Amino acid sequence: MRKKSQVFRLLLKLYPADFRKHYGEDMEEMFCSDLQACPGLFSRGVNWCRGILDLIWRAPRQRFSRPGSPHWAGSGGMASLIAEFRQGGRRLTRQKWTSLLSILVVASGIAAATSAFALLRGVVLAPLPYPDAQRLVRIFQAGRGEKPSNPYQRTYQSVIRDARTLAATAVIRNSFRVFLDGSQVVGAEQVPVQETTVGFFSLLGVPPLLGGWPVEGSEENVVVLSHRFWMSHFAGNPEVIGRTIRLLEIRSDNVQSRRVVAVMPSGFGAELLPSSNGPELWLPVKLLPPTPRVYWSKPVIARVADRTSLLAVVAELNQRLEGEPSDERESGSLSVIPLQEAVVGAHGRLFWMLFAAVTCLLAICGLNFTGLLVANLRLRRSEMAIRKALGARLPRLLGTLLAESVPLSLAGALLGCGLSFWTLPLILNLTPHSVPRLQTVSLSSPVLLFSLLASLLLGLLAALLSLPWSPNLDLLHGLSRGLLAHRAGNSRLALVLVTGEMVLAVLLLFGGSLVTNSLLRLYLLDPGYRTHDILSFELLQPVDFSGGGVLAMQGKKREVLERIRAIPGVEMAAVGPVPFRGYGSTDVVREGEQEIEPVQVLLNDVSSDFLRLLDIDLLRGRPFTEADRADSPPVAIINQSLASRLWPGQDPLGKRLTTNPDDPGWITVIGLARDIRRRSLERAPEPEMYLPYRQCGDYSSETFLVRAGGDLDSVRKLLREAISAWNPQRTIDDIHTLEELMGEMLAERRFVVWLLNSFSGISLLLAGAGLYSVTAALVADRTREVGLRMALGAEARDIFRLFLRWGLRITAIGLLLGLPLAWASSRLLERWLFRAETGNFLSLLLVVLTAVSVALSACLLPSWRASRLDPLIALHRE
Amino acid sequence: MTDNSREERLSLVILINIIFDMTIRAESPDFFILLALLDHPRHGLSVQREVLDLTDGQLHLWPATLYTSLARMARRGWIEELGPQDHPSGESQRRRYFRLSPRGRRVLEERTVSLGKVYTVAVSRLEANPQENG
Repeated sequence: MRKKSQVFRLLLKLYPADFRKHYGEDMEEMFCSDLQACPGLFSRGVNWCRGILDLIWRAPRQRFSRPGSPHWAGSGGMASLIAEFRQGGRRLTRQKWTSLLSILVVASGIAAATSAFALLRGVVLAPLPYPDAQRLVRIFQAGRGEKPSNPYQRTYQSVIRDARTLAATAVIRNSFRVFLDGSQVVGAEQVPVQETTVGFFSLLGVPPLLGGWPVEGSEENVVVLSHRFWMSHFAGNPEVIGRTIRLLEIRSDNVQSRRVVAVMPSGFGAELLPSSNGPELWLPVKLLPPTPRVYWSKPVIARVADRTSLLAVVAELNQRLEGEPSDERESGSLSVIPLQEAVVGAHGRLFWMLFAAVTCLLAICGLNFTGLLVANLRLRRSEMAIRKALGARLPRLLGTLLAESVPLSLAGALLGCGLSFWTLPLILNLTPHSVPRLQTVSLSSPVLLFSLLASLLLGLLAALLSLPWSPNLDLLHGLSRGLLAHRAGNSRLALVLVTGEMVLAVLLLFGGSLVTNSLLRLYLLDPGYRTHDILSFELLQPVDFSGGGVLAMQGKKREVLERIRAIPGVEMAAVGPVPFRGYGSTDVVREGEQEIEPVQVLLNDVSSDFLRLLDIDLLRGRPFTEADRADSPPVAIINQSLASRLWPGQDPLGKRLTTNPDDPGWITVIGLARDIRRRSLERAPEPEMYLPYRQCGDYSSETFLVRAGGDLDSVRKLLREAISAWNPQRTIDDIHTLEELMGEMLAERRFVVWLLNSFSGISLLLAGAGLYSVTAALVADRTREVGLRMALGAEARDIFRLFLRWGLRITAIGLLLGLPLAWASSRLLERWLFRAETGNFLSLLLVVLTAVSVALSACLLPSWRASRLDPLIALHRE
Repeated sequence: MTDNSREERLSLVILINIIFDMTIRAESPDFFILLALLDHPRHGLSVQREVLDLTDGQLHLWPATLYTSLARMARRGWIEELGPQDHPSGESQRRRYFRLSPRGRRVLEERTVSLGKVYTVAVSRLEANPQENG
C-alpha cells in the first residue's frame, strides 16, 4: 500500500506547499483507505487511477487561484466562457443522439488520423535514435546502373575516408555467420551480423550498455553483441565481456574466435538492416589495401563535421575524386544523402500518401460534424435569436458554438485515440515487412498531442463554419419560426457541406480504384513463366566445397538434384536463379567487326531442365543437355531483348559473345528464349543470358527449383528430409513457392490497395450518411411546400423525383469537382500505378457508378417519405 | 497486446470518465459537504463517507476534490478548522477536523430554500402538463 501511494505523494508536489503541508497527510490517508475499501484488484486499479487523475486535475486550480478570492467567482471573460461551456455541456446531454453521433464521427476520423500519424512519425519523421542524428549521412557513388550505388573500395579509401568535411566515416556490410555453440555444426544457428570498420560505433555515438567500443588494431579478434543476442544466448549475464565466441563464415568455411568487448543497448542499429529485427552481432573488420582487380562496393556512412553543409561535403568529395588517378569503373561522382532519408528511402512516400488519404477522411469527418452541429443549432434557433436580441455579439455567439463543438470533438478525440489502440496494431500487422523502423511506431505522446490538436482544430473549424449559417439571427424570424425565411440559408450550407464530403470521397475513391486496377493488372499479367506448383530453396548451411574444387561442387549439386527427383510427387528439379529473388549481372560484348557498347545482362546459371521447368518458351535452337559440361565448348541461350540489342534484325543462333573482352572465351549462342519478367512483375523484360551451370565455374548459384504436382506441403516436408538424409550437415532454411514470393513482392501494393479502399469505403459511408441527414432535414423543412405542391396537383412521383434530383445534383457537382482534383493528385500514387493511366475509362466509370449509387441509396428513403406525405397534414405542419 | 498498452488503454477509458465528470456533470460538491458537516465536526475521511451515504453512493469525493473544496470553503468562511485542543476526545490528534460556521449554515439554508423552490415549481409544472400522446 505504501508503494501504491508513492505516486500520490509525488504528485502532491503539484500543489502549493502550504496546502500540501496542511492537508497532504490526510489526503494520502484517504487515498489509501479508498484503495483498501475495494475488494478486487481491478476495482482497486480503477480507484487508484481515479484518485490520481483527480489529484492531477485539481492541481492547477489550487495552484493558480489567488488566495482569498472565491473559486469560481471571477466575473471576467474566463468565467463567462466557463459558464458557456457548462451550458453547452448541459445542452449536449439533452441532445443525446446527435451528440453521440457527432462523437462517433469525430472518433472514426481521429482514430484513422492517429494511426496514420503514428506510422508517419515512427517511420519517416522521428529522428534516428543517435546523438546529433541530423549530421549522419550515407554516401553514394554514381555507377553504371540507373541508381547511384555504394562507393567503391578505392574511392572510399582514397577519397572519402580522409575528407576534411567528414568528422568520421565507417563501412558497414550485412552478412550472416553461423554461431557455433559448442563444437558441432549440426543444428547450429545462423545469425544476421554486420561487418563494420571500428569507427562505426563512435560515429553513431551510442555508448555501449556493457564494456567499451572496440578500438583500432583489435579488429578481427573482437565482437560486439546486440542486446537481444546477449539476452537470448547469455541470459543477460554481465560477465560476458571477455568471453570468446566461435563464428563460422559460410562461404569460406572459415571458423573465427572472437572476444566479446561490448554489449549494445536494446534497439541499437535495428533500422540499418530493414526486413529483419536488426543485426545480432557486429564484427569489426579491417579493410584490405586496394588492389586493382577488386571491385567491391559497400555501404558507407559518415558524420558530417560541425558547421558544414552537405553541399560543402559533396563539393569536397568530388574535387578530391577528380584529383585521383582515374579508373573508368570507379570514377562516378559522389553524392551525400542524410542517413534518415537513406534509411526510410522510397517508403517515405507510402506514409505521406497514407497520411494525405487520412487527411481527406478527417476533412470528411469534419464536414459531417459541422452538419450535425448545425442540425443541433436549428433546433434552438429561437434561443439564439433571443440571445442576439439581448445584445450578444459575434464573439459571444462564437463562444456558444465553441462550447458545443469543442467538448464533442474532444470526446471524439478521446474515443478515437482509444480506438487507435486497436487500429494501429491492425495496420501494423498488414504493413509489409520491408518497411524500415516499424518497431519505433507507437502511440507516443507527440502522436496523442497531434490527435488532440487535430480534434481541437476540428471543433474550431466546425464552429467557424457553422457561424455564418447558424440559424437566422434575426429576432423576428427566429421567434416566429417562419420556415421560409431560413430555407435558403440552410440548404445552401447543406449543399456546401455535402458537396465537400462528396468531393473528398470521390478523391479517395478514385485513388483506390487506380491502385486496385494496377494490382489486378499485375495479378493477371503473364510473367512469361509458370508460377504455380513451383518450390524454391537455397542451401545456405556450411558448404564444405573447399576440398574438391569446382568439379566436386558441381557433382554435389547433381547429387542433390538426383535426390530431389526421387521424391514422390516431384516432376522436375533444376539448379537456377529464383525469379523475384537475387540476380547476378554482367556486361557482354558481341563478336564482330565493329565493337558496340557492352550490354548489361542478367546472368542465369541453370541446369538443363530449368527452362522446361518454368515453362519458358524456347523460340529457336536447342535446350541445354547433359553434354554441355565444363570441358565442352561454352554455349548460351539468350532472350529476345538481348538478341535485339546485340544483333538487331539478325538470327542470333551460332553468333558468339563474351563477358570478358580482354580474354575472350567466346560463348556460342545455341538458343533464343522468350522474354520474361524476371526481377519483378513491374519491370519490363531485360536482356538476359542463360548459361549451363557446369560452365560457370565457382560463382554458380546454390538455389534449386522444384516443380511438383499435388500437395506442395507434403513435398516440402519430403524435401527437407531428403536433404538432411543426404547430408546431415545441411538443412534448408526456407522453402518458398513461387506464388509466395510473388505475394511478398506485391505486399506493399496490397497494403496500399487495402488501406485506400477501406478509407474510401469509410468516407463513402460518411458522405452517404451526410447526404441522408441533409436530405431528411430538407424534406422536413419543406413539408409545407410539399403539401402546397401536392394540393396544386403534383403527384407522388414528382415529389419523389424532386428530392432525388436534389441529391443527384450534389453528387454530380461532387464528381465534377472531385475528379479533376483526383486526377491532379494521383501523382502521389505514381509508385503504385502499373499501366493504369490516370484517365483510365474503367476506373472512371467505376467511381461514377459507385458515387451515384451511394447517393441514390442515401436519398431514396427521405424522398420516398416526402412522396408519401398527406397534403392536408403537410400544409398544417407548424 | 502487451501489458503496457493494456494499462494505457485502461487509463484512457478512465480519463474519459473523469473528463465527463468534470465538464458535463460538473456540479459542485459544496452543498453535500456542508450538509455532511451539519450535525457535528468531521475529518475528511468521515466527510467522504457521509457524502457517499447522503447521495446513496452516487458521489464519491476523491481526495483532491474533497480537500480543494474544503480549503476553498474554509477560505470563504463557510467552514472552520478545529484547533487540536477542540478535537473530539479519543480521536486522532493528527487529522484535520472541520465544522460548519454560522455563515456556512446560512449558505446551506439559502441553497435548500432555492432548491425547494425549484422542486415546487417542477412538481406543479409536471402536474399542469400531463403526459401527451405522440
